[in-house]
Amino acid sequence: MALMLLLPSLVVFGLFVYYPFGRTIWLGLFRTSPFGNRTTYVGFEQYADVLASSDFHHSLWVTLVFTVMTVPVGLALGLGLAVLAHQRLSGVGIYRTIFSSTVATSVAVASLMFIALLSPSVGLINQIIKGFDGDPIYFLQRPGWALIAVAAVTVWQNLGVTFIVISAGLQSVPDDLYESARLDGASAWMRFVDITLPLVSPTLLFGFVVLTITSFQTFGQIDLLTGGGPLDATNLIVFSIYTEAFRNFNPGVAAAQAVVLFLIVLALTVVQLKLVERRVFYG
Amino acid sequence: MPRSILIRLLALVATSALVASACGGDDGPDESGDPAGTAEVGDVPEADPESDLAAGCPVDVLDDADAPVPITMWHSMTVELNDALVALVNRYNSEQDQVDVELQFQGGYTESLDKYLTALRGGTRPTIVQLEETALQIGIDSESFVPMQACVDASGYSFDDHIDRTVAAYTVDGRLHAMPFNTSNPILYANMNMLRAAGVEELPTTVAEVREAAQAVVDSGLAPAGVTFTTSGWILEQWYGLAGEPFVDGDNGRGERATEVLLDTDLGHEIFEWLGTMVSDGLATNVGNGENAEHLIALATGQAAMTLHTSAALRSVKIAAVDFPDVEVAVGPMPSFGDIEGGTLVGGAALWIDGDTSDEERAASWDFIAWLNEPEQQAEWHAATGYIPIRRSAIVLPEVADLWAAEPEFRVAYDQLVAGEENIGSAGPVIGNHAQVRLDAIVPAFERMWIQGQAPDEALAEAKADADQIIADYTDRLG
Amino acid sequence: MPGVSFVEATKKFDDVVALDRLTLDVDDGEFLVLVGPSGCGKSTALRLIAGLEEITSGTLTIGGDDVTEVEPQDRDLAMVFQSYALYPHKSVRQNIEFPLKSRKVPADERSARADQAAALLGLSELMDRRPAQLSGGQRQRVALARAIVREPQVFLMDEPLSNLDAKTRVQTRAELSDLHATLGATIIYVTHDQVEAMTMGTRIAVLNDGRLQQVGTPDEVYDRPANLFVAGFIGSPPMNTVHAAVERDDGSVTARVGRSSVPLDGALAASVAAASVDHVVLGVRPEHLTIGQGPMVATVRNVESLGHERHVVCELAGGPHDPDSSPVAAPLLIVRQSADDASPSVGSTVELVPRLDQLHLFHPDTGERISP
Ligand SMILES: Nc1ncnc2c1ncn2[C@@H]1O[C@H](COP(=O)(O)OP(=O)(O)OP(=O)(O)O)[C@@H](O)[C@H]1O
Ligand SMILES: [Mg+2]
Repeated sequence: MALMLLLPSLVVFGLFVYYPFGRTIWLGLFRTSPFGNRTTYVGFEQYADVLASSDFHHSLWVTLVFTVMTVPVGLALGLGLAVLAHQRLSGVGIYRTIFSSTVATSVAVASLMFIALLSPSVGLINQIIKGFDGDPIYFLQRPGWALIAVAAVTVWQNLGVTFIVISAGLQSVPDDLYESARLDGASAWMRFVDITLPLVSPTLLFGFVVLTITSFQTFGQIDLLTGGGPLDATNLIVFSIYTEAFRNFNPGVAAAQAVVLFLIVLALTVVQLKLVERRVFYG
Repeated sequence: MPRSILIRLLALVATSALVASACGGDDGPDESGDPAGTAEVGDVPEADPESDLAAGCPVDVLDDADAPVPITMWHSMTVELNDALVALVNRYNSEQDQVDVELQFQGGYTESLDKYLTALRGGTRPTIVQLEETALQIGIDSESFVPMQACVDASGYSFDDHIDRTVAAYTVDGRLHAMPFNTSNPILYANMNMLRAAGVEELPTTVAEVREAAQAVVDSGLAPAGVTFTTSGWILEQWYGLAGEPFVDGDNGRGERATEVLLDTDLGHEIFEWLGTMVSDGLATNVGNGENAEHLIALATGQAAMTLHTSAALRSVKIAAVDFPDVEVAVGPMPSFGDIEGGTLVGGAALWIDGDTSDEERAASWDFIAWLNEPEQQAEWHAATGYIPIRRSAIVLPEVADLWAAEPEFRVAYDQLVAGEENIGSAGPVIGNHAQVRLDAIVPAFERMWIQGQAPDEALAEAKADADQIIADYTDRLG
Repeated sequence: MPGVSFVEATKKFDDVVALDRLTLDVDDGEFLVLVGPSGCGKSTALRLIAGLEEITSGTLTIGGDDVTEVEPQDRDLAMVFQSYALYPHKSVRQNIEFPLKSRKVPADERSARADQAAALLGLSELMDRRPAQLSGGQRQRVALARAIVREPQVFLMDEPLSNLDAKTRVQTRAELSDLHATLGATIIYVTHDQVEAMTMGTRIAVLNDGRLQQVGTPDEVYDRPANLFVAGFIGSPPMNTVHAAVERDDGSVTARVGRSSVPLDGALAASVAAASVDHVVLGVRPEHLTIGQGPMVATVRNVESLGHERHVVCELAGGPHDPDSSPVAAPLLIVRQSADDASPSVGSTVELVPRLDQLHLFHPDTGERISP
């Protein structure tokens, strides 16, 4: 009976999640011709090759750096803006709309905006730098800057969702707790640390995990802004898997990379949840 | 800057991200640059109705079909390119009653190729697919297409009126694999006002002249650099084409499968040396991969005087330039290293007939593809999109003649395609995973040289090693 | 010293006038109960004192000082919220210590004082629990402990007992009264429960619609309601009020309602004369009506037995009533009987005897008290 009830969801998951995933693991065991029509079984050797590949290491490293650059900053900004917008100030509704607007912006539009903003010859930022007689900065064209620039786009792009999610978390903290804390003599900082932070901590943890996963999956900005360059400086892992599969016509290796990535993200998520869970207060 | 200009520049960015489209032009609609005198090529295949292939494309069955044969075409044309293609197809469908073509947009070239290759492993395949020029070897290796030569042979088709190179480009081992369709090539874009102010009266036609002009611009303090470079593997191959030298072995991959890139040649070293020193001497700036049109924007905003870019962008550039009255856009042929002993390569895309098709579908596809290649259609296509008309007789038709009379820039790309010599060099390289060679071997070499100051010889050596490895791996996996 | 004074204090939320020109003095050490129906502005008054809302016009002084510019944390008062507002992520101890921690009291002193407050409220066993692990009454006491631990001069309590069951409520009521006696602090206590108001406060302030209706000791408010609103709000069941015509005959003055005619004594007659009205609203509390031989004729409509007492609902016979002023016009009277008295049967006609020295007269138009 229980099985009967589970059957529909098992079928759906089986069809759309487990089957493709199983196939990916399977595919990773084969060296494939460019069209995947001829395959040679190489077994876990291919996984070993992937794990040993310096390009793969490089992509993982870049992804890690990118995650460290985007997630804490994104969360902190989202929290900061959400706390600001949570104040009972006049005109706060306008700010809320502005802060959450990036939700309605596609990666393509966001990327185009940043291309315009960061352009060495006409970008606003470089116009300002030139105004101070500085040399233009090639944000997207130089290895030292590109990852920072892409990270900035990502933080901006995620800000709307982060803001909305954290705002919702803040909404669920009753006002009277803040009022009580004020009467109890708590400073604004104490109220933030002692009331806001612990009570939105489940939301923050959620945001932390989701942003980490998204940052490991980053693709669109890379494709549109840098194409993984220059000199692989922005060759984040999913983009590199994509190029391996679809530009280099190497589906077997790409599959093995994807499986390794999945395991890494899974492990990371588990570790995050375990490490941070203790510090989180669930109502 | 005013917002409207920014918006137009962004439009330029958007259009330059579209892979290819082009135009050509110079004086009048004559037959200059006639390749009749360029004998030795033989790369343009002749129709041989007796060949074994001919059976694979029984063109006559179309006449026996009871009803219009439905065929589908996957394509990657967007915006006005899409409109122009739709107009052609509608006209074709209404003018005859044997074939009914249905267009299906499949995203960019890369996406479309991905979808096609995925469909090979089980899925709905199109009858015709439009693939970009770098997909030639992939298309052959997939063994999933009817070689276009089959239809050429079966119908006794003649390429006499075609620009030879457009046919040669898709011919490997004496066999035509795909039919040329939308065609473009790189041209030199310059701000003539700035060049004149620097004392340069004529557009440079060789790289040596480019260097002199850049030097003049920098010396006169008009701009921080004379030229902007993009990290493009395409341009490098074009110089090999102009010099008439093969870029890969095996007769540029057309006689035998390529196994190495011929970078370690005098020409290769000369190119790397020149590109490297232009930047290290402060005469040129590297503005990235060009996908954001940064090299063109730099031109518009007075950061440099010259750049190399696809003829496809000419219309967009002219529209954007309206907002920059200080800039006078001039375009010229791609500057060469020394004498031109070949010609600019054919860029763009070609049409392929899928192999999982009935005789009727093949015959129908051929009918449609041949129709698209007719001078009238090529003239209409050029006028609507800017792609180079690939039929010589198309340029005397009013659509082309009028455009060229009004805007002669539009014939530059055509002229350089019919100029020069036809040989294995100008036919262009055929490489297994061409795109990967460009992006993972050539582009990083330029970046190391330009950004990290790697010596040109070292950059070249590494590029060759990387490219050869990529080719070897591909060939190896092909089995 | 730390008395609280409102002078002509008004609070508006956009168009809503939550408090309308409130003038009220709360003396040092007093237990003042703010009472009134929902939405009358009780919480608003409290929040103004706490500094959680800004006054729109008028003044508010605490201990004689205008506090308009003083932040809540600097007002030396503690508030017990209707919802308790306990910090859900902190233990009982951390909750109680929080006001001290905020004020940088050293840790050992903090814990000593928290223990003391907890002991006073019987919380010593619960110090390590989280609020979610406490009963409503326990939470209530934690909120109180957190309020008293700092020994502020003024306590503000917003319907603190409303969530408790009857038994805990009675118990906590007593605890609060004890606390007031022990601490000697000023307590301002909001409720809309008039029993709480009557039993706890040294004085009651009745609010309606943002306006102060009456302030006084519970007895004053009960015995001499200043207007019909107070008469109807304080007392359960509320005071009976009926519209009556004033009739003068040979120097004797009566109030007539239909076939009933109630004689007014000299002081009442004088007040009617002073008000120069020919109609009044006659008020009489249910316990001041008996069934017997009297001037009022009524039909028994319903009898509600509460065990120890009985409420007999009667309709005055032939009563002309004024449909324009509804509470006054209701011709229904409630008689409060002891359970020992004989119960009349529903439908029977009875005569009612009011205690003539316990009659209240109100102005028919303004509802203000006119009797002395
Ligand atoms: N923040 C606010 N914004 C707008 N109106 C408000 C606000 N707070 C209170 N009010 C209005 O002011 C009036 C008085 O509200 P208040 O909360 O003081 O009532 P109350 O006497 O405490 O009622 P209750 O017994 O239901 O708690 C009400 O009409 C209420 O709707
Ligand atoms: Mg209230």
